[in-house]
Amino acid sequence: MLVYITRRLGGMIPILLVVAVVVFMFLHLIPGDPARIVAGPEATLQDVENTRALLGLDRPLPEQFGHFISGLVHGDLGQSYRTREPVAEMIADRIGPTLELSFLSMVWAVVVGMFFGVVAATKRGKWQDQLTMFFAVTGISMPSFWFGLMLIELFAVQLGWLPSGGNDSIESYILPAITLGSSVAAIIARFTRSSLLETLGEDYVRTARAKGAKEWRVVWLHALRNALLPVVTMTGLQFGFLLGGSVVIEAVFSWPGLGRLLIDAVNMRDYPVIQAEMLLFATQFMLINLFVDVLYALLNPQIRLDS
Amino acid sequence: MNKGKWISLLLIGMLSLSMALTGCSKSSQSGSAKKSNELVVGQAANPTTMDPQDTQDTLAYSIQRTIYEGLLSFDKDMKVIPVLAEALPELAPDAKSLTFKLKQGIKFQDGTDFNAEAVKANIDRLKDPANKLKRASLYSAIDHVEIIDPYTVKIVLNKPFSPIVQAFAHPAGGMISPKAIKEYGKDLDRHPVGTGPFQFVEWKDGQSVVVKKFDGYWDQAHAAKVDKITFKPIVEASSRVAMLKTGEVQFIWPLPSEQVDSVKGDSKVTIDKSPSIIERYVVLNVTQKPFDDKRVRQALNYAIDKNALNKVVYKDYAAAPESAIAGNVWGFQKQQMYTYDVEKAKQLLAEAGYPNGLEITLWTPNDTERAKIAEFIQQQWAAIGVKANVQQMEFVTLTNLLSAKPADSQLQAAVSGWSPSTGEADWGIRPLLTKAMFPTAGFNSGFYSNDQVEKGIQTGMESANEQERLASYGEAQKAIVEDAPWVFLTVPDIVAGKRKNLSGVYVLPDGTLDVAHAEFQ
Repeated sequence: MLVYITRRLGGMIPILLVVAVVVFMFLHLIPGDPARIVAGPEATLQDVENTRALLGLDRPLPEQFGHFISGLVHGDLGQSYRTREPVAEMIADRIGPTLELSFLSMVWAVVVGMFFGVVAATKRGKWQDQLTMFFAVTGISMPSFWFGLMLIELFAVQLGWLPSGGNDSIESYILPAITLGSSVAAIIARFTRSSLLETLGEDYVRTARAKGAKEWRVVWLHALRNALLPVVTMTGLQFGFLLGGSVVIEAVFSWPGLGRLLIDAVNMRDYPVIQAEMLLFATQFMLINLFVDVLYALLNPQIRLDS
Repeated sequence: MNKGKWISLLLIGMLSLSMALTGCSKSSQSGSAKKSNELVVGQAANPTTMDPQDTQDTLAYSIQRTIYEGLLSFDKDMKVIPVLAEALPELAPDAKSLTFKLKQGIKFQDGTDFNAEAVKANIDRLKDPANKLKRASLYSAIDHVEIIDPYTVKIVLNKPFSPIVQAFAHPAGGMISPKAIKEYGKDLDRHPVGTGPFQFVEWKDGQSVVVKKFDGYWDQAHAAKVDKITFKPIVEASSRVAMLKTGEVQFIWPLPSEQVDSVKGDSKVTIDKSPSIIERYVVLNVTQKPFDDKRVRQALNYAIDKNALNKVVYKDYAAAPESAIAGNVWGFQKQQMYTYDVEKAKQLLAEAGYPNGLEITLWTPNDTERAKIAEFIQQQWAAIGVKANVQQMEFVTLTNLLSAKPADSQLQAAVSGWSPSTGEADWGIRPLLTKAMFPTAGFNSGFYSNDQVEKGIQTGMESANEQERLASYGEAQKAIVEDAPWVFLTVPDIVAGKRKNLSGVYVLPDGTLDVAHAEFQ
């Protein structure tokens, strides 16, 4: 297992290099001169030229690229155009709030999603099933942006129970986490339901029932364990999306995380920050994938990683 | 575990969650009661820097205004007033130098004395090309500073340039402690030290900038009345409004006009409205057909019902323009503008050789407001047979296209706007409508030039005689309106929202906030 993990980690390096090249190229292809934006709306030609020199954008593209890659190899992500702070420090400041929010959303989404998925599967065709699936479809199709604003209107403005933004207190985590996790919870519920329905029809379930095992034992211990495999894969992927996809939620809830940092960076054409965040998101995805594969093996001993 | 147990577990879970929520609401209420002497302001974005000489965004200036003061400043109506200077400066008759008498007994927040040396240190910092400061160009007319006595400075210019007075009232003219300049160098943007009523506490990027009351403030009559101000970036407009309604923030700016209705019913919130110095217009490429014909440009102007535009796009939080610059800009002179006259527009088009109308590509930034403006124009022009193909694009992309050199420009027409941050006619016209300011040197994206306008601006710049300056700026404006290099659209109001118990807070016409004298009832 350890060998496998090491090999997978090693394999990430060339992929990350490719990502770095692609991101760099794309950034320099999209229109919008960072020097002009950083210099500001009233900047004169001289101001813009000064800014360009200050940011190193006056140098030839291959040289800029070489600078970027050699910095990367030495673990230097560069300086933000906007704040002139080291990008690594900025990301370190912002990654905490985003991770906290994503984890919290994931935890409740997994718990609630699986619970209702199981309920729906065991009550197949009954009102519990229909109700759960109704909410699941709503959860998936509702734009999180709109859902967040509705939650703010209800719980912050009308009822006054919860703050509508920021991350200054524990209660300020509730609304963004609910918003961010809702579609994931819905997806997990649907996946759990269909996967569980499949396993409930298997022979070993019939055997367990025939042996007189209690129904909850059959469902929760025997069938669910096997039904979890596809759910785990999907949940892992969703987590990757959550980390990168909190952009909208962070804007709605004034959350000082990576998503907000990315929006600011794109608006300002803050190349170093965009590049660093893209690499970070790519790394996250690969790590999560690895984690999912490992978890897979742990859940089902029949799957051997090393082979 | 049977079904009953599961349901009861779920119920217990929900119950405890709701109890936790009620508990939270109590604690947050007591929290806000305690905070009654702290002001929280919601802004639309992150500030970029706390170095006034290196700042380009009004949002950062709003924060800096609490920390820094200049020799001069703008009052509520954008009129220049003395602050750290005893009075308005004496401008030499040749407009080549000006002399400031400074107030005495003023200290910076780090204890350093404010005097002529401090003024010199600030201007020297600005003028040093090695510092590459973004606002250096605003003061490019300054040659050097002479210290006459400890509280008198003479600013010597390299050319006659009267608008320099307004440049000193610009927030970029905020006086920085000379000690801080020496100590922090490039890091000054994170360690601002001025003479203002508040001193800097901390800046967490993306989260907040905090300032607290400065006890050693020189002007006790105008000392701070709140202990602390927190500036929060709240990007999403509806979230900004929600936070104002819940009282988490007490002042928000901007309040987009489409959000105004959602605040109107709230008894604890009021809407503050004041005229801005922003003018919105469609810039036309006058070097290209069909816009090289004045009659076409005039026709496009006649075809726009500006009152309807203000209703549709701004819910009447805007006024029809009365010149190429807004009414609050120094040097403004009311002009005879184009009235809404479809027949006249059609006739002009026909005279210009387009009896069957024409087709135009109209660029616009993709934000809600300007996209709506473009759609509105499209409909209005359709009535005179002009088909406008609206192309929405990201602001940055558009800026790039608009700063193309004359030979490379693909511009036909674009929704644009300008806010002259020095509050006077020179900066309201010169960067946009003179020959020297063709891109990339300036913002004359439509490549307009007119000898009468150039002359008016030149006289306004070089004369030290106020009457003469006003007259020449007036002539320039008259020529611009008559020549119609733009389709004049609107002067939007500044719309901000505040809690009813808050006073002393307002937005200046240039879009910066003045919260230094905030007070809770």
